[in-house]
Amino acid sequence: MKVQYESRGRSYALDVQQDSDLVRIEVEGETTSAHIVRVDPPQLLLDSEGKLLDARTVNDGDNRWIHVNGQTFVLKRRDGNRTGTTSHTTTDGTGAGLIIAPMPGQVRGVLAQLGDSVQEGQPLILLEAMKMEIRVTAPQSGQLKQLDVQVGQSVEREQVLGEVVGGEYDSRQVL
Amino acid sequence: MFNKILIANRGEIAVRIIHACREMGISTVAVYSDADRDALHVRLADQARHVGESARRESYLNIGRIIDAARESGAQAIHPGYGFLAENAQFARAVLDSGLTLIGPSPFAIEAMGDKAAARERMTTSGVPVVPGYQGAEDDASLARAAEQIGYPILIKAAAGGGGKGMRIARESNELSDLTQAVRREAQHAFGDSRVILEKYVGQARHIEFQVLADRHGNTVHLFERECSIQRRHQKIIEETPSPLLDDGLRTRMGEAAVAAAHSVNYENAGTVEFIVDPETLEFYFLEMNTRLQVEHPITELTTGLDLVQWQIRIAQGERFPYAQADLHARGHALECRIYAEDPANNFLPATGKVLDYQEPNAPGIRADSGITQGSHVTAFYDPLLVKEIAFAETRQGVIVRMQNALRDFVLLGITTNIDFLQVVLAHPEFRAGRATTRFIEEHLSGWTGDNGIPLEALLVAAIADLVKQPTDPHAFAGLGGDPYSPWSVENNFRQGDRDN
Repeated sequence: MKVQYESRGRSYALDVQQDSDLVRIEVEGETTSAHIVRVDPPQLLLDSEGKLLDARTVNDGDNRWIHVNGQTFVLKRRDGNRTGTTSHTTTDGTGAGLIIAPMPGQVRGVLAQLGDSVQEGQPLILLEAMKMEIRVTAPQSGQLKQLDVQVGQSVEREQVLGEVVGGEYDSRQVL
Repeated sequence: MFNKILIANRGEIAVRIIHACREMGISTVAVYSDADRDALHVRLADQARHVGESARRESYLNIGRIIDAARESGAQAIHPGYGFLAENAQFARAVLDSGLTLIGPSPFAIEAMGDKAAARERMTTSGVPVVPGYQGAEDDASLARAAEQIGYPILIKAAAGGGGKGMRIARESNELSDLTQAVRREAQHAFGDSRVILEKYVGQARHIEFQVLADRHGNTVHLFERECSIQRRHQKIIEETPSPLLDDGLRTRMGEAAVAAAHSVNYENAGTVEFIVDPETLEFYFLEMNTRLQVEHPITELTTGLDLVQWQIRIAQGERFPYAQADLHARGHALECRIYAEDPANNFLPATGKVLDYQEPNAPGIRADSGITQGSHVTAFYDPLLVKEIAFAETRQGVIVRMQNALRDFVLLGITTNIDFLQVVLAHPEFRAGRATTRFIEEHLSGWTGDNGIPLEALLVAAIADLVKQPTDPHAFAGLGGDPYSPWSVENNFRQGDRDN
C-alpha cells in the first residue's frame, strides 16, 4: 500500500506492507519494520527490530501528530494520487505575490489601500497575536490588487490576506 | 486572615496560586473570559466569575469587573499573578479603595518602579548602578541627539513597559525614528502609555535578577539570583539558579543593591530586581524592578525551600517573614524551561490550536506548572506560555540532564511548541559551559528550522497509526487492545477514532 506524508515542504512516499502484526515500510530506498505490541490510542507500542518505540499519535484532520523517541512531529497525510502542497491561485499562477499571514491573530491595522503601488518589504498589515505585533509586508513590488482583511478581523496562519501583482503588470490598466 | 482570595489572572500562574491557597485552607475565586470558560484555572478554583469578552481589555484588564467579582464573591484579597493588572497602580489603588487587600506591593511602589525613567533616577540616588541612558523630551530631534550621545546600538524601551514588551534595538541612527514609532504603538497598546526611554544596548550581557521579599515590619531580604540570559525577542525561555557567572562576592554586592532598590520604594511583598551584568568586567547595572511575582519564581522555591506564593499571601496578611538575610541559604541547582505555543522555525511566531494529547513527565526532581490540560484551547488572545517545566538537582550538569529527560517525555500534541528548540539550547556547548549571553539565540541559533527531515521511525509510527485506524485486514490486530484481559478487548480492539476530529 502506498502512503504519502508531507512535512515542512518535503514529501515522503511510503510503501507499507503488513503481515499480521508486522508492518514494514520503505521510504526512498530505506526500510524499517515493527511488530505492533499494543494499541491503546493515543498510545502505540511497537517493537522495531528489537527496539521498543513508545509512541503517541493523534489525528487532526489530515495532520498526524506523533511523539516518538522524545520528539514531536507533525505530518500531513496526502492522498496517494495527489502530489505537492495545496497552492493558492494567483493572477500569474506562481503564488509569488500572495500576502500570507505568518501567524494566527487579529488584524490591528491596514496600512495600504487597494490599488496602491507598493515596494517589496513595505508594511501592509499589522497583525497582533498573544500581545505581539508584527507587520505583514509586501512579498514583491507591484500593485496591491487584492486585500481581503479588515481591522479587528481574526485570521489563521497561512491565510491569504491579499495579493500584490508584480512590477511588469501595468497599473494603468486597472486604475 | 484571609479565607477567600480572588485570582485576577489565568493560565499556569492562576493554577499555581490556587495550589498555594488550597494548601493554606483559603478558598479561591477564579475569573474568566469568554475564551476561558472551561480553562484549567476555572475548573480548579472553588468559584468562578465571568468577567467579560475574550479580548484582554474586556476581561482580565477590566478593573471594574474584577473588583466587582471580588466583592460579590466575598473575597477579602486579590492576587494579580504576573502580567495583566499585576503592575497597574490604578488597579492597586482601586483594590484598596474598595476595602480589599492586594497581594502585592503598594500603588506607590508599583508606580515608582513602573515608570522606567523615574526608577532610573531613583536608583542613581540610592547608589544602585544604572545603564547609561536617556529620559526626557521625546521629540525626534531630542531622541536623536540623546542617542548620538549615548552611542549606538540603542535600546528603545517603553517607559511604562516590562516583560520584554515594547522594546527594539536601533543599530544605526536611520533606524531610530521608525523603531521608536513601533515601540510607541506597542507600548500604547500594551500599557496604555506611549512614552519611551533610551538606553545603551549592552550587547554581550547576562541577565541576572534577584528575588526580594519584604514584610511590612521592616524585614527586607533577597532570596538570591536567577539567571535568565536565554531569551528570544527579549523574552526569557530558560532560567536557572544559581547563575554560573556569579561568585559569592558579586552575589553579595548585587543582593545588597537589590535590597537597596526595594528599600528605596518601601517595598512590601515579593518583587524582583533585574540587572544586566557585563561578563567581561563583571560590572552590573539595574535594569528594572518587577513589582510582582515573577514567572520563573519556582526555581527560587526549589533552591531556597520557601513557598513564594504562600509567603506573598502571609505578608499581605501582615505576618512577619521570620528569616534574616544570614539565615537564608540556597542549595543545589534549579532550571526552568518555558514551553510556549510558538513555532521556533517560523521566527517564534505564536501558534494556536487545541491540546489533543497531553502528558507531563514524572521523575525525581521534576515539577510542571501548567495552565493547560488535554482538550484545552489555545487562542491568540493571551500569552503563549503554556507550561513551565522545572527541574532540581544537586549540580548544574545534573539538572540539565534531568531537564533533557523531562522534555523528552513531555507529550503535547495538537499545538506547535518550542520543546524541541529548548532541547537544542540545553545541548548547546555555550549553554553547557555557562557562557550564554542574552544574544545567545541570535548569535548561535538564528534561522534555526529544526528541519533534519522526518526520521524513519516517525514515519513508521504514522503509517502504523493510519493502518490501525483503517485496517485493510480487520482481524490483523486482534488481541492488541488496551487491556489484554478485558472482556471487551476483542470487540473494542482499537477504539479507533476516539481522539479524531
